[in-house]
Amino acid sequence: MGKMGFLHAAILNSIDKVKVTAVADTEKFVLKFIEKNTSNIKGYTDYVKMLEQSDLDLVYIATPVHLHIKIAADCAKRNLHFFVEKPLGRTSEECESLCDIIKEHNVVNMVGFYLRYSDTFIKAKELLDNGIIGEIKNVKCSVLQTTVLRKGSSWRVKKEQSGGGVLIDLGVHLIDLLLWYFGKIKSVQGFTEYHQIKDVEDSVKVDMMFENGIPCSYEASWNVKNYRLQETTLEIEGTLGKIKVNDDYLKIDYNDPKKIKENSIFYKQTLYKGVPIDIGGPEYTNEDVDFINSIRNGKQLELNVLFSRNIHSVIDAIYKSSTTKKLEEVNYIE
Amino acid sequence: MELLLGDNPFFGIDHLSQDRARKRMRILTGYEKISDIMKFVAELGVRGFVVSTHPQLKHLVKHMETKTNLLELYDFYPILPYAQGYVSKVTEKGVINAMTEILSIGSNRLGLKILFKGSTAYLSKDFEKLLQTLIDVELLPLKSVKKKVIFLHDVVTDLAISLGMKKPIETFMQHIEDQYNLEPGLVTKNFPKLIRKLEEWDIKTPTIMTSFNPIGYQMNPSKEECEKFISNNKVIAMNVFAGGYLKPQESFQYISQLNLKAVTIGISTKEHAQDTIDSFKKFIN
Repeated sequence: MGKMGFLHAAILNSIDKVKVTAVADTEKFVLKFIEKNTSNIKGYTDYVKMLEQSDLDLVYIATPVHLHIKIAADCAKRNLHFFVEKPLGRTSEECESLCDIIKEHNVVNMVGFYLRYSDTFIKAKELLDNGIIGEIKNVKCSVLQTTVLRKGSSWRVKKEQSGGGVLIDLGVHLIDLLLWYFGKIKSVQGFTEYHQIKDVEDSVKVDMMFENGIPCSYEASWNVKNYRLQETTLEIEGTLGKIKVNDDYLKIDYNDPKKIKENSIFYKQTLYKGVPIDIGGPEYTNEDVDFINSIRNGKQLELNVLFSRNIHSVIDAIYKSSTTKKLEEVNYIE
Repeated sequence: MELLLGDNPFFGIDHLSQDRARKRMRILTGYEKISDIMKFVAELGVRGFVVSTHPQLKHLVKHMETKTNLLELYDFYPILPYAQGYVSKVTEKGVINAMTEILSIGSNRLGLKILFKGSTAYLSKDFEKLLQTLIDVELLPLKSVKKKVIFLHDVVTDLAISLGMKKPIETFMQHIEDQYNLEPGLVTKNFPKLIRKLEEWDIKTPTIMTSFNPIGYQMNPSKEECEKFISNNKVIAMNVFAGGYLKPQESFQYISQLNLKAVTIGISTKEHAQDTIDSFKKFIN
């Protein structure tokens, strides 16, 4: 029960006809706090016991990354629907083992790429699909957040547990958006940098090429100053104009000066719609509501495990390229 | 209706965009400049200062105390805990180490015997005492300032009401009343849900700080629903310009129709202060 565990538990408990009844954590202090202060939530130090002894419909997995695949597999084998926080696993090979199990068990599953539920990025998808800036010529994008890394302090800075640094932790969201907007990435040439500690990279720059021929320059970094919050930005150039989109706003610059200037900027404030509960931002609520509705309707979501392994194929290729110092093709597992 | 000054723009927080936050950070660097604006705002009649208990606060307070008379002019409305600081510490060090570190800051100064060295048993023995100590630690930098209402941060309030955690809310409110003889308050992004929950728990509704603006930004589940719940409650509006998106005129026109106790605004320059406060006076007082 870290930050994301508490966030999802609180949101789920506020969704109509959903009740959180059990939580698992190796830290007894956290479990005691929850058990003592809530009336119906039981704590387990062993998640397998929780899966076996509690009468659950679904499970949220918000553990350190190295535990994701095993817990998700244990849920699927018991025919429990599950949501797993991003990234799905440490490598695409690890994710593949889960895909085999999922194919045998028909459970609704989702990986937490919350940016797809963020209003400005949804708007960008809508505008791109409508061809508002014509044919896409190139993309420049970044995800930045000031983060001080200290050796050995958290699972996030231990490659064995996290799978990598800023690319797999933060940059993974941006890879998801790129695949959503522009389709599969064909090849990558990546450069990882280690400014703060040696175990995981804190900066990565990548030149990418999409299968449809669009070139893209990508950057993910923790090693920046004055980025208090995570900031994701895409600048997309098309034959008719440009779109700049980030977490706060979306701006369209048309090439044609005669083009009406109305509706050329959308702030998150104007795109905001109330949600049943807002804790960490409405996008997390909408993400969880979508997952619950999918279970209720017996429908698989697009952001499922099978899709998410594509993201890991891209990440694997970037890490490989930064070692070989060569352009690498992305190997998707079909 | 009272006007309160919020501290967000002073510390690089801008809800319109992060680009703008960084630009303003460059303009507003230094406690001298912040104090200057606060003096100007006080001259225009504002006497309340809403602050979050982040690490820079103690330096600002020290500056105000030693170099200005601002502590005499302003009543503080602290919001605690500094949630982002807690989250980063817990993410980095795990919950036990983070708690030990936070509490050890206060152990000497509060005269408490916090000697548990990361012992789970000790920490979980008395959650009530633990929460009270966390509150005391958060309020340490504000020892020398006049405080009016002490608020619980919206992330904590909203987590508690969603998970059905009555005790932490009660403990917070009681501790502020008993230990500090002050009024407790709750910040929320889910105003109607909070009021309903307090009724269900039979807790007297304290002062609530929550979003009110004409476009319904961060008003959940909807603007209309939030408006219905103001009635006889003591409500302080925040986010009145929808994070800098709206002009003071259109916001205050809307706010003037609501039965609110106070409004919190963020100010980044003297010019901005003059325009905003003039507009407030025109529409509201």
